[in-house]
Formats: sequence, structure tokens, C-alpha cells
Amino acid sequence: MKAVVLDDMPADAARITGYLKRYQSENNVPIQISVFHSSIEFLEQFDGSYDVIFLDIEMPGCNGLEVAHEIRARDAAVGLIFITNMAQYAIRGYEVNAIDFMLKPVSYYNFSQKLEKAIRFVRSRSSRDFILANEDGISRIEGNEILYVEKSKDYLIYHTTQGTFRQRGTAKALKEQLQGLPFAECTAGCLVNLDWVSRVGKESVYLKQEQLPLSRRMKKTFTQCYIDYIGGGF
Amino acid sequence: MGEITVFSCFRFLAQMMISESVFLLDSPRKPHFARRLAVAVPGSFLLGYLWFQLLSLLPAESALIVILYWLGLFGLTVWGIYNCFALEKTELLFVGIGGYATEHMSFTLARIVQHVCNGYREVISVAAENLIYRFLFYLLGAFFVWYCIIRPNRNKAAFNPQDLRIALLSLVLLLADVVLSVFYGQERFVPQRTLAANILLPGYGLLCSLLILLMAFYVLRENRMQQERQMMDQLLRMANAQRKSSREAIDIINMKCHDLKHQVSALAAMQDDSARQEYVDEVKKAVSIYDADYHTGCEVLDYILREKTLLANQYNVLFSCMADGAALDFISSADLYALMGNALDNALERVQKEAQEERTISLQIKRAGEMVLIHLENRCSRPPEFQDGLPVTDKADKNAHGFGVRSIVYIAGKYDGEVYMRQKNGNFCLDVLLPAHGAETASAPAAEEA
Repeated sequence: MKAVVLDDMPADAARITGYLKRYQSENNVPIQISVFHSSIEFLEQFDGSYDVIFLDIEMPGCNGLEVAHEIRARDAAVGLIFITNMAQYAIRGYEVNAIDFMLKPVSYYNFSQKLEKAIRFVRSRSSRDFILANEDGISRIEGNEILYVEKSKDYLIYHTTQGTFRQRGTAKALKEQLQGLPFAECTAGCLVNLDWVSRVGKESVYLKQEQLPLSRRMKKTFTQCYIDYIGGGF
Repeated sequence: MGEITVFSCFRFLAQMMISESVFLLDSPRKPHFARRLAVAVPGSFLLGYLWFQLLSLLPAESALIVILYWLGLFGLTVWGIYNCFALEKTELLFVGIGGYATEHMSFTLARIVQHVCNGYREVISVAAENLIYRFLFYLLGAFFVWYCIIRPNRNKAAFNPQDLRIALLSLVLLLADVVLSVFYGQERFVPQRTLAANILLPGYGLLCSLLILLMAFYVLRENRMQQERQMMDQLLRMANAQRKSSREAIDIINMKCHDLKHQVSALAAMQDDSARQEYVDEVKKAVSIYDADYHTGCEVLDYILREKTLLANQYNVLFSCMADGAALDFISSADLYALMGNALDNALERVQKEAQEERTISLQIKRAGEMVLIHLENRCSRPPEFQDGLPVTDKADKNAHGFGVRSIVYIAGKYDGEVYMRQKNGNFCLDVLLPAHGAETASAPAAEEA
């Protein structure tokens, strides 16, 4: 895992790096730590390869929330955690889909809780490519381009932003294939990409263009998956 | 089967369906409703026919078989309802009883009127007579029940597990009624075209059916009123609790102000620089209790957060909050206050049972698509016991407490939202998922068609 600590105060940055090292040894998670003391310096080299960013939102000469917006614009999947002196500075963290914030001085318990949330967030945003075929030929489709997949007799029908693909397959194999991606079952044999869900109604799930039935039996699990997803791995 | 013809099964099923339908107008339908109905209706007729043929095979001529015949047909319609509508078992029982009572009411009334109007037999044809007494009366009866009993009580009825007793009582009464009608309906038991067979006994049946309908509906209505009264009690109690919490917040401020006054005068008198710095830090810490000036875009929410942050600081609880207050603008101030106040109070109370450094509460309010999510999470090392998806209070007075949770569910329901509570990663999570303002109403018709 790659973590960044972005804080203009060396003492505060050192505290977080210390916690990261402690977490690494206690939980056996290899963490590669980078420290930056200026947001400009950080943004110059930022290439979206990080998993978690600890961001001090009160740094001289810049607005932390703007930096966060810049980071989010370049990388939708990175876990953002704010560090702040004043709780009210971070209240708009939802705008950049931040995981949470921590008040200085940060305690280790609080830190480890938020880091775990960040790990869950990064996992929930991971994507994979699929190779799918239809009459136009073979296409490489990214996981987040799939709207939903439904089972029809012996076939799986992939509804994607690139068109529809039919392939032989079973529901069980499909579930294994989509394991770890943000898909949830709305009716038996129909898995929806939660990223495309705009509304969960009483009996239907609404995607941007389409509407799928939501079975009573699946409703609770589906809604909880949806909540977890939009919450970013609570 | 004695005097009963094969047509009776189709006729009776149709009559039952007419009578039951008025109870099902507002009932939630299962997915693919039209398809299910298209199978259930002809299916019932077919099975009804087979049922008639099966019982006709029996050599015995007893009233018991006739009773069994009618009840079997009734069971078929209940089976059909079960397949088409998403109803709880008690609701199904209720619809069944209501439908049968309505059917019986129409049946007895038709019989009485037919007897009274016997003189007109020559005037109308047999077909017309059948149409009037076999169907028109049932349509009128069903309409009457809908107009006089169901419609005025719509949205006022509520089921309660205790209603099962009333339902069973009604069922017994209804069965007695049906058995009676089997006897007075056939020549071999009671001589037909007499006052007893055509007026007195059906009249008694009519009375019973009406009473069953009224009894069932008034019990449900009473329940609803009782529920509303309980909700009022809860809101009142909640208002009291909120007042207490506000007063506590003011007390904290007063106390801190008092301390500050002393600290500032001590500071002025101090000479030593290092001690002075130490003191300044202490004063800073004391002032930090006011570190609660939120601007979420929703004034009510700002106010709640300010108050609860004050309490959180007092109890050494780490409270973090990222909230899009503007996303909640469709909730009335009173509801928002009750919802958030309650949720945060519960979290604050629960988290105090934890070790000091683990007292964390995190609140997130965000929009996603056309939904708004309120997520509140608090440390909870000992998972609470859940019942029907809601945590059971561990406080001794179960009536006074736990109302917080119920009122959260109540308020969320008012805005078509849903509440999920669960234990996750050592935390207690409360999620309220609401359709953003206008979204639900705007596309509701589309949802109906699905």
C-alpha cells in the first residue's frame, strides 16, 4: 500500500508516519510512506498511484479543500483523510468524497480506525478489465463501464456503456467473476454496478437510463451494499 | 353433491374474487403482477372445477362435504391472493375473512331480496334473474363495503399481532355462518321458500357478516389510534430530553466561562514566562470547547451539531462530522431536530461505555445520485442485541427508552426513507437512506408500471 502524508508541520507529519509504521508492524501490512510539506510540491508529481493521502487542510498559502478537489479530480479511487485543528474546516469533506477527518492531536486508535476505513474505500473502488465478445468483435471493457449483468437461461447478458454482450455462463461463475467489484444483486440473477445506481426505490433500482426491479427478498442486502458503497467502505 | 351443480364453483369463485378485490385495492403487489394474476384466476377456476369433480366422486350425501366444498373454493381464492400480492400471513387472513364476510353478506341479502320480490318472477327472464342475484348483488355488496368501511378507514388501519385473536374470532363466527347457510340453502335440510329458509336464517347471516366486517375494521382503526398516541407520547418525551440536553450545554458554557474568567485574571498576575505559556495553553484548551461553529448549509443542522459537539467535548468523545446540510433541506426543522438529535444522543450515550481513547463518533451526510445518506457510526465494543433489525435497549425501562430508535424509524418513514442499523468493524452503524426531495414523487408513476 502506498500512503502519503501531506502536512506543513514536520512534527505533525512525523506523528502520522510513526503511526503508519506502527500499523505496518502490528498488522503486517507493507506500507510505502511518502511525506510532503507543501501541496504544490505534492501535486507536481502526483500521478494517481497512491492508495491513501493524509492531508492537513490548514497549510499556509493554500486552501486544503481546494487541494483535495484537485487530488479527487485526478484520482477517484484514492482514500482521502483530512487532518485538522478545527472540526468545522473539514465539514465539507463530503464534496471530495473524503473518508473522514482527524482532529489534531491524533491518537493512534483513531488513526488506525480511519486507516482501515481508507483501505476498505480503496478496495471498494478497485476495477478490473473484462474481455467480452459480441457480433462487432471482442472488446476490452472496464469493470466500471458495466451497468449491470443479467442471467438469461444459459447466457449472461452484460449491459455496458459500450453496448450489450452475451456470453455463456452461470450465475455462480458471474458472482465469482465480479467478486470484489461494487456489484449487488437486485433480483435473482441480475447484478447491478452500484456506481451507476442513482436511486433505490421501494420496488425498483434506477440507473441513469434504466430501471430494474428490486425483489423484496434482496432489498435489505442490496440497500446495505449500496449504502456501504456510497459511504466508501464504512 | 346433492342439489349443487357444476356451475356453482365458477359462480362462487367469481363472487369471492369480486368480494375480496375491494380489500386488495391498496395492497402491495408482487413483481410481475399482471402475469401472476393471469395465471391465478384461470388456475383457480380450473382447480375449482377439479375440486367439484373430486367431491362428486364421493358416494356419501352429507352436509360436511358441501361445507368442505365451499371452504375449499374459498381456500383457492386465498391461494390466488397469496400468489399475486405481497401480504403478511395475518394480512392474508384478514383479507380472506373480510372477503368471505362480504361475499356472505351479498349472498344473504340477495336471498332475502329474491324471496321478497318473488312476485316479479314472471316479469324478468331467468338469465336476467341470475345476473341480478348472482352478480349484481355481489358487485353492489363489494362496493358498499368499500365505500362505507374500507374507504373511510384507508391509511387508518394498522395490524397488530394481537389482532390474530380478533381474526380467529371472526373466522369462527364466519364458519358458523357458512355452515348455517349450507343447511338453509338446501331442500333436504330446511324446506325452501319458507320464511325461515329465505328471510330469518339469511337475515341472521347478514347481521353476522356485517358485524364481522365492522369488528375487524374497528379493531384495526383502534390500533392505529393507539400507535399514534404512543408516537405523540414519544415526541413529547423526546422534546423533554432535548430540553434537558440544551440546558446541559448552557451549563457547560457557563461553567467554562466562569473558569476562563479566573484563568485570565491569574494570567494577568503571572510573571514567569514558561508558566505563562503553560497557562495560555490551558486557556486555549478551555476555549476549544467552542470549536463547534459549523456551516453545513442547514441552520438547524448547524445548531444541533454545535450543541452535540459541546457535549462530546465535555465527555471526551472524538466527534468528526462531514455533512452536506443543504441535502437535507426537504426535512422540516422539527423532524430534522428530532432525527439527528435522537441519533446523536444515542451515540453519545452509548460511546461513554467505552475506554476514553476509543470514544469515537463519526457522522456523514452526503448526496449520491438522487439519494441522501445519513451515516452515523459510533464505537461499540459490545454488540447490542437486535430484534427486527433494530437494537434492543439494555436500559431497564424499556418503554421510556428505545423510543429514540423508533422515532428515527418513524421520521425516516415519513420521508419515504429507510433505516438500517448494524454492528460493523466494532462500530455501531446507523444509516438513514432517503430519496432526495422531489425524486420519489416525480417518478413514482413509472415505478407503478414496473
